[in-house]
Amino acid sequence: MKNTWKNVVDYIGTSRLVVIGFLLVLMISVFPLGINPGMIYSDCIVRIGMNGFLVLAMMISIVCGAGLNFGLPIGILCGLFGGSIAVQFNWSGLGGFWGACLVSVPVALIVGYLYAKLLNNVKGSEMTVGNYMAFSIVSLMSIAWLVLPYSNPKIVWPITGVGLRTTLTLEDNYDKVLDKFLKIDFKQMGILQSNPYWKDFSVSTGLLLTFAVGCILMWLFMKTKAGVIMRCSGGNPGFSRTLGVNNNHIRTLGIMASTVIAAIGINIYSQSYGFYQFYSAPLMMAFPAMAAILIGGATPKKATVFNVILGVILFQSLLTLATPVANALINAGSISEVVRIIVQNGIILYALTKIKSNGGK
Amino acid sequence: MGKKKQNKVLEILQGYMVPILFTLLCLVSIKISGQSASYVITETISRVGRNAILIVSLILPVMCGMGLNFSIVLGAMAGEIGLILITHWSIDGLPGIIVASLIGTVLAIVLGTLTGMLFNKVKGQEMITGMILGFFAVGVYDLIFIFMVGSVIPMVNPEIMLNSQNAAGETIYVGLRNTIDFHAATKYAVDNACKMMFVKLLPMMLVGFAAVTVLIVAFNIGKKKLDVKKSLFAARGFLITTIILGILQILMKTSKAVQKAFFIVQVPILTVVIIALVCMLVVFITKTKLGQDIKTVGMNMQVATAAGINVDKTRIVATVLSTVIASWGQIIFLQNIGNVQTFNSHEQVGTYAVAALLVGGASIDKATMGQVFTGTVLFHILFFITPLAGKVLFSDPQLGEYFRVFLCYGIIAVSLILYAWKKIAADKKRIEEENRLQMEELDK
Amino acid sequence: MSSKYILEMNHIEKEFFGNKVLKDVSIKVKPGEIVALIGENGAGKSTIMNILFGMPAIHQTGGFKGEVLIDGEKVNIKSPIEAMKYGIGMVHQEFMLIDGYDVAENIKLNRENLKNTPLSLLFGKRMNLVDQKTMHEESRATLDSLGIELSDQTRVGSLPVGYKQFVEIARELDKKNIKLIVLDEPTAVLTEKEAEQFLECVKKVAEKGIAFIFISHKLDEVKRYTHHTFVLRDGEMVGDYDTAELSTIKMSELMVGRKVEILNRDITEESADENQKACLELEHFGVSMPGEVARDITFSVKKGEIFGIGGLAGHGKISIANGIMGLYPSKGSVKIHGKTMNVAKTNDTLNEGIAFVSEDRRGVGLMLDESIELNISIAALKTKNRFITKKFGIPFYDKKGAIEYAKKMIEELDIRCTGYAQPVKSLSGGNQQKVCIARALTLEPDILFVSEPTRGIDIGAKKMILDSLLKLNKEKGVTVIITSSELAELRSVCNRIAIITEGKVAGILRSDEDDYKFGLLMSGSKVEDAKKEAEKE
Repeated sequence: MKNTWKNVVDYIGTSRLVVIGFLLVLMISVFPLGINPGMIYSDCIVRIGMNGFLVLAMMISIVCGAGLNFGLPIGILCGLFGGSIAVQFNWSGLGGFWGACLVSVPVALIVGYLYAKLLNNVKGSEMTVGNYMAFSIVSLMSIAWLVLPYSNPKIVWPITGVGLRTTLTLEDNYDKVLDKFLKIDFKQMGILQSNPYWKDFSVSTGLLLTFAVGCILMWLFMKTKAGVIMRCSGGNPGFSRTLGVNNNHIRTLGIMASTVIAAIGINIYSQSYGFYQFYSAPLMMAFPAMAAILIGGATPKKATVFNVILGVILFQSLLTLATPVANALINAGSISEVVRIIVQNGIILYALTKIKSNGGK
Repeated sequence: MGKKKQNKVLEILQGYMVPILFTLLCLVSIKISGQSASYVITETISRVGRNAILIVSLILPVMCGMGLNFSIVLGAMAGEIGLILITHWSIDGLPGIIVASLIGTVLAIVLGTLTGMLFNKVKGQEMITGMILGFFAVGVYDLIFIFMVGSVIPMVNPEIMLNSQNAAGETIYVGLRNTIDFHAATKYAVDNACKMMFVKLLPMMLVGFAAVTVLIVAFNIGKKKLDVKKSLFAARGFLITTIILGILQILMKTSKAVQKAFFIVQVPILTVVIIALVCMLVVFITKTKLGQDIKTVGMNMQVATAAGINVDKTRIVATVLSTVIASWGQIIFLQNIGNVQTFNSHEQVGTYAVAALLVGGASIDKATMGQVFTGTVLFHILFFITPLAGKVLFSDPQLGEYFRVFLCYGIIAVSLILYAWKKIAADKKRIEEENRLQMEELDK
Repeated sequence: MSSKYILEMNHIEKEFFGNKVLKDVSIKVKPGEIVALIGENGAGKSTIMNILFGMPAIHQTGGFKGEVLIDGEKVNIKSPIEAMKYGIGMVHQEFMLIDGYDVAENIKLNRENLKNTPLSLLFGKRMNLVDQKTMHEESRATLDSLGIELSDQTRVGSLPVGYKQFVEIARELDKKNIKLIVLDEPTAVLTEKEAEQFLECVKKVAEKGIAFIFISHKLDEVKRYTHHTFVLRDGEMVGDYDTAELSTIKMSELMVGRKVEILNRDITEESADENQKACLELEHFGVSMPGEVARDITFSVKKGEIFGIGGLAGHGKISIANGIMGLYPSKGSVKIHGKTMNVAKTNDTLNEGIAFVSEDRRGVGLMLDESIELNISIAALKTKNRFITKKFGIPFYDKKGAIEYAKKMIEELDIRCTGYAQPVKSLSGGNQQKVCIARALTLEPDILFVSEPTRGIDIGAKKMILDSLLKLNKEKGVTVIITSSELAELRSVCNRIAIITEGKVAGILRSDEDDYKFGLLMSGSKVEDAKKEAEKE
């Protein structure tokens, strides 16, 4: 009995257990603190579905050998572009949402290809180069959002009539279409309405389904011949060379996939949030995804779908629960934001200290 | 022979390409913005004065092979805390600044040591680690100064803290305000300590720089036995400045436009003296054994270890020095502004300083004092001019702002890419060269 | 207190994890003597030098037995810096020089002359100014004493390779208390002329009373320039002679020697079939692999034979297989089954039925964190599409099938493990090698390249691995090409062996030919020349 317990601890890792423990404490503490568990747990579920794809995008970048994708914002910009087209032409409903994704994909493929070519030429500096490329391109696109000929009065600045607004509401388009799809809403369905804890509980099935499908597809891919070879190439490039594998090829495919998944991911995120956020919003979006996958057990050299799922559940639940709990305890509103920054960057720092520079070619 | 010379010319041009490009950009933007020369000059002097030391703080880590130190944010925070404390304790004026510097220095030494230890664990990835460390430190800073000051850390100061009512109806103070004004005596204390009109100062500067140039040349010819050309090259920074000042002096006497431009310009003498002292300190350090060790570690860590140099300790010292100088830099910066944006002033310190250094022509593995100043001037001119130019061109200053942010990040991205290419090409060339020699030998 | 010898290392013994690497080795060096230390790779040369320099790798593994005396006094050297204090210096194989500094700065690295400043009282010695003037003066003096035409102000990065070596020796000489300098393969990267210049310089310095330990594989240089020669073989001192008493032939014989036969095989009958076609033909094949450059390799391997590639370390034998697999750039012609190959395309080579077991087992030979089953099946998965099940037309990895196969392989090759899922990094060296071989076998190759098959493996596993190679050849007719530093091993399994010296094929011998012929080929002497020399004595 003691042995199996030790094995479990070793497998999951002490730091992760601490996080899980802390999360459980938070989850339980909502009850005595008078926070509505139904609502808060529903929020957690929504946050998990919202962010899932972005973390999946981070995974494939690690698997193919390019490490943590600091250039995630580049893929996000492709997705935002698709989204901007959708609102420009007033696409709505599920069809409108998938339309936005569809437009994003070819853009993401081309941009991803170019980005991959760049990364392949700066091996060893992928993280710094990726990060500042992303920052520069986000800034460049900020100029683009101002200058591109958007005309829909709902999305341009009211006075000048030119340039996208910073935040676009999706009320008339596809606000929460996935969330609402097959939603299990206790209130609407009249379940457990007498129970003060659970009366507001809901499960955004559509959103979770999308994330689940994404995870399943990724999991299946990792079991194909291509997936196995990609994993070997990413983790053991020198070895894979002897098998005749072209590592650069594999990395390019992986980065392209990461960009596409990020593009789709931001559309999922935005439809759930209810807004598209342009300009400097994408700048910092890589970091929560990184922290999530790292807390899920991944390293900059190795990641699995399990890491993605566990990580996004832990990280997003932690964030969602922290604010109201902190509020109830200390009456300090924005402390959760500050704690998020500390935890998120602390996790990434820790992961960086664990990378041993190797000579994998 | 012709090709070799051609290559050399290209190499020199490449080294100066970035500053030349940015000079052109500056001139174009100034023209577009339509601002008066005197406004541009006054703004520039003010900005260079308050930012120079922050950029100087980046030199030592570059020399030590740690690349661009994005974590100078921690040093900036140390300096800031110093100023906040003297405002809290009402220690004003120049004495206050001195106390703030001492506090900042002590804090910076602690933070710098921790940063250095972290950097030793991530050899090869110091830059990205420094950036993330900066974010992390900002989080900790926010935690302490928004939530812990007044609650966990006992402190009451209605002037600089936020107040609220607690359950019992008493006023409690938790957290610092978003903007903290320095006391009247502290504001601009260093700047105002001694101001002189530029027109009066110019002839003195000209004489001074000329004298230094002559001294350096004489020293090189006399003691070091170099030829005239090499000696002039050694004093090139001062020589170029002397020439520019000379031209300016002539223009001042002859051209009315130039007179008008410089008429109201005032130079804060004490600030300039402090900047000069810091520069001399850094130059002095590079000439000591410590400086030699820092350079050795920066050039080749393995050889340094084999020679018996304590590589880890040297890197920590370089980081500490960088952090301490950054703390002084932030103090000079804030006294020029007159107040501190408690939670925003230090945010972009790292990014802006690094961008400025790169604009001056420095690279990840090489940074000189001349590049520091060239970069500071060019970067900061662009910084305040682009929004104004944007307003004229597109009737939207926002565009100009985004453009300057893009330039900022773009120059860093390009430098990183070029450096990575250079490293990879150098490795490839070295292996090719070794094997070529071996192959050649046998064909004899 | 001075004695006859500047350095004595008496009855040195060293064990690494139960493996005896040095067995009762004694070395004595007189002041002003140039002493050679020769032996094959793995003979113990580096270990004994590591002991002399007090390298951490020695203390951390249990220290050593025996005593070291410098100038008659017993010493206990615990670090390279201590060694330096006793006056022992080293000129390394890879230059420990800073390209960005000039010659003087390199000579004075970490020993720069300093001028005092007041700040040093507060902040320590490192705040003293570097006295560039004195540094350059002293360096110039040292360079002059060496008699080399070299300016102290030249940037080292721009120096030709030969001159860099001079800077290394100048650095050691500049240390005022220097008594003994170890030269580790100093002429390995030098041209003939540069080597001559260098060794003449060494001779001059020795005349001033400084002793040298000269580690080299170039036996003619040893013969010409050294006073005394120590020969190590398998951790034992097998030769302690005045160099005048030895010929290069005798030197190589002592180095190579006759080791215990691992397998007794009657190879005469098997190599009788001269009519067998060539399955691999190399013509003027050269490979640029750092440290192991092959320049001009020409030989052909007959179908079904076991062919050996031997020679001393660094002479290029390892690069041949690596070059054929396209892992390093190469030139020249390679024909497989008569077909000319573009070896840069590794996939083409693999598709022709070639498999490769690399010498860098842990580096590129295995995926250390992955399971035994994946390591075994991956190559065949990629190249031959084995272990695949198709679902909706997409090839999926058939893990179940791979596991079954892995279990079979584990049994066949007797791989000691806890199961197919065990990550290979926790296996012993011998078992790791078996996994590598299993992977190659899974490809069902026609031609199998194996590099250093038994390096770092205990005697029991050695036999098993060589046996499995023999079985493969006998039962499946696979042509096996073994590259190895252990000549005895090659001679016990191969039909023919090519000896690679200085990047070229020095000769191809049958495994049962005389010992001295092998030694000669490895030393680079031509068989006829060395014979003449032997007849003279």
